[in-house]
Amino acid sequence: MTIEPRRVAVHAALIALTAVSVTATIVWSYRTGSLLYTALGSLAAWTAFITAHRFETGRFVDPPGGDHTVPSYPLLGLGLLMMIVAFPVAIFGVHTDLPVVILAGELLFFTGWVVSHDGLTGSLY
Amino acid sequence: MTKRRVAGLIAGSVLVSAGGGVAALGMAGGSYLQTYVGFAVVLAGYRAAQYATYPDRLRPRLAAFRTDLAGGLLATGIFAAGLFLFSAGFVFGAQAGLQPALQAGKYLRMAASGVTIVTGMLITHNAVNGVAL
Repeated sequence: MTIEPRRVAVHAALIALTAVSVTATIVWSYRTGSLLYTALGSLAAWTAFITAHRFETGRFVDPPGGDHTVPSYPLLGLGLLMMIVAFPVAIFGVHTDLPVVILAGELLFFTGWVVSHDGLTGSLY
Repeated sequence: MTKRRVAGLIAGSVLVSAGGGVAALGMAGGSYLQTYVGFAVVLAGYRAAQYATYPDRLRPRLAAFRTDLAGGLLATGIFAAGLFLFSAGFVFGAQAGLQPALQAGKYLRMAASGVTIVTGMLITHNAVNGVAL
């Protein structure tokens, strides 16, 4: 696989935007209790995520059905571990009311998602 | 992109946004039901966008549900169970985080929430898309 710096940068920026939006949604949920704010945060996260998905695959959502023919168990295990660890990190951020720690958890989660997806299917999404 | 796809994507996005908002408030408020319903709406939105984009891939699945009711109910039950694990993990994890003191038992709950959420996510994604991720 050839690594294109521009492609990696755009993809990373979209994933970072997704993580920032989810972080805002979480913070607004317990600070404001406002459905408007949390729904806007969710909209931003969803939009960033499907844009990243389209950027990588050429489509916003996947068709049903999938392919398990390219399993890389180390990548799959690493990605799953990253996703599992992401939640305690984000919860600790909620406890300490530090959005940057919540963001670290979200970045860990979405990076884990693409890593494990690549391990299971051979593509990032 | 056809009008149908655009309409489906917009309708799906509205449902995903509203559902995500409801689920986030459910987590903060400690409501298992609200969080579950919120995430169910998110998945309905995802399915709406998916159906608008790939109607020919989803129609046979719906038809199969009618011809094999037992299999369809089993698949629905697995989906519901996965979604429950996913939602519940968020609620008890968030509640552990929102409590004033962070003690050893709470770290265990936080770690358990990560395992529960990811397990629920894999089960639900597999039920919806036929692949775990």
